[in-house]
Amino acid sequence: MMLSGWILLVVSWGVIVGLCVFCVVKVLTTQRANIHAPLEIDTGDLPGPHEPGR
Amino acid sequence: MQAREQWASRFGVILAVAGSAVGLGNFLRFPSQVCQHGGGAFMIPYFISFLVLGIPLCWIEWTLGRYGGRYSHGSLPGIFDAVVKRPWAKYVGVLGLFVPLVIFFYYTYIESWCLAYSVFSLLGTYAKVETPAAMGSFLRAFQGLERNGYFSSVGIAYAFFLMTFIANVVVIYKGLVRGIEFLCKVAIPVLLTGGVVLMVRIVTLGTPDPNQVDLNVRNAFGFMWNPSFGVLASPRVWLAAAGQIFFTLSVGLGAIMTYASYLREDDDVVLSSTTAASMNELFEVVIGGSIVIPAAYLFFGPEGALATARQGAFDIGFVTMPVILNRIPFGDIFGFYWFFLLFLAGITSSISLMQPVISFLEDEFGWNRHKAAVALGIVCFVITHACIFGLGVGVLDEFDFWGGTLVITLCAFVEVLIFMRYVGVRRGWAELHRGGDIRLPRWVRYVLYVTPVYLGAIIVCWALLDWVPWIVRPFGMEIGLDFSWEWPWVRWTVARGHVQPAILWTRAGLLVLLVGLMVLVHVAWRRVRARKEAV
Repeated sequence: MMLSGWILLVVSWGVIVGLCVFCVVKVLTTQRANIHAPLEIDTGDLPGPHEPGR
Repeated sequence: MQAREQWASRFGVILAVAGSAVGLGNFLRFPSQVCQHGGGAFMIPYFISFLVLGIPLCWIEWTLGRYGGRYSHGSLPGIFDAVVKRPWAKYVGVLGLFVPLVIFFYYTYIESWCLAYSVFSLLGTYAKVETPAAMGSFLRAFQGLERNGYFSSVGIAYAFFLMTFIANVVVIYKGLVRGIEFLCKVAIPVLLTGGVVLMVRIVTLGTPDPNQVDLNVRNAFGFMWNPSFGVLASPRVWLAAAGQIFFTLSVGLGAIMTYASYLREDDDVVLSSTTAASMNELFEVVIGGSIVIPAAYLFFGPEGALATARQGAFDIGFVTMPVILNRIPFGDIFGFYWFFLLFLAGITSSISLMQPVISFLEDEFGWNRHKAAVALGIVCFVITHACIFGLGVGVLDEFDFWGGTLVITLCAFVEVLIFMRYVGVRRGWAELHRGGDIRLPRWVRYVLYVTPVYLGAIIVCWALLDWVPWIVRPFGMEIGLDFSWEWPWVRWTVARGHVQPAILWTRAGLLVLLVGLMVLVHVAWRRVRARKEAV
């Protein structure tokens, strides 16, 4: 493998891995309300799905 | 009107879009393109295309999608109608239903080959096939194109198609969060892990044949990455790079827009879109580029690797790779890994192809997801049979040309033009950054002016070099076109060929599909208007 091949490989991989890591870290560290869909937590104060009144 | 679904998590939508983009092309098409177009030098036009064409198109699609979602539209007819506010826009948006639908018709069938081959690897069905020629015969028998000792009919392929098709419909049926998001959250990490394992296996092969010391891993990567800068003078290389970027990012499909339409008004798109695109590049350049061609070099030498690269994606995946995997220790396990990895890459893409039409039926007709999934499933199931049983006469290739090559490119071009004309760079830039978690440098917005020019130039070149010859061929005319540095810059040859009635009928069918979708759009909007008038 020639030096120019190594340079292109390292630069290409470096740019892509660097961009990907930067983005993923940014996504994971940015504080946001991530849960959007309706939560399915049984809080006990509502009738169940098969109970009358639901 | 029922409430629209929303993603359960931010990473869910990123993985879903990344899953849509990561497909068979990342692992099969990219390495062959690099190999054929100057090795490492190919990465220069590749990265330029990524910056000028790929990333801006992703930003535009995410922005338009989230904007459409605000008006309860998740498919292109509704999004264009909301953005353009002219009656014609919704009909132009039909392209965004036609493209994913046509690609889905054949993509699930190819995806099922991956599932079948992963099972064949474990069962040792092709363990004694030692040469690419014999493996080609195995593949053709599996596809029902010839009868031999391996398979006597297309029955096995059909059984795996049924399993794959049902898996796709079930995922779509289960919904956005429990179906698509759940699958992508499982599949993408598995895909990444499996890809890295295979990559490490190839890198640690050393010198597989001690009698041929030149066929080692270092030279294999040199074969892939040593640059030939002279090829950069060829327009073909720049077109190939632009094509690879365009097709790998799944732009022009409508899928990204549909996924983005399930975001909230102030959810970030600029960071999410860049993350999804960079994940796709990771799969393509780092993992995809380190498996097929280096492995082909190690076992077949430079001539064999180059011949492999020229074979085309299908032959690389289903002919060359099984033979290579047969030659390495634990090849059955790695074969299973390889094909199951391709299957996962395929299914995360194919479910995204169904979603624009599902969203159209939900948003514009008020259908619930289950009804929409079953209805679409039945239509797709029927039409896919044309690809299965018409494979030998070129029906699948014809679907790929119209859905996956020509109309998809035109659709992306129309998206960019509509964004530039009816949203504008200033407003579009502000819309892109609404709720954004990162802020792009201001100068980057000028790239948005370059994107339509770049894409337009590519379309002209593709039309001359590839599309026109393809379109006229079934009419019995063979046209060859190529560029030249001498006047008149384009050289062409014309010859008489054979009329292909099966292909002409296929085109007629695709035209009926396009018109049918336009009628559906017309009916949907008329119903909405009637409902409003009644209120």
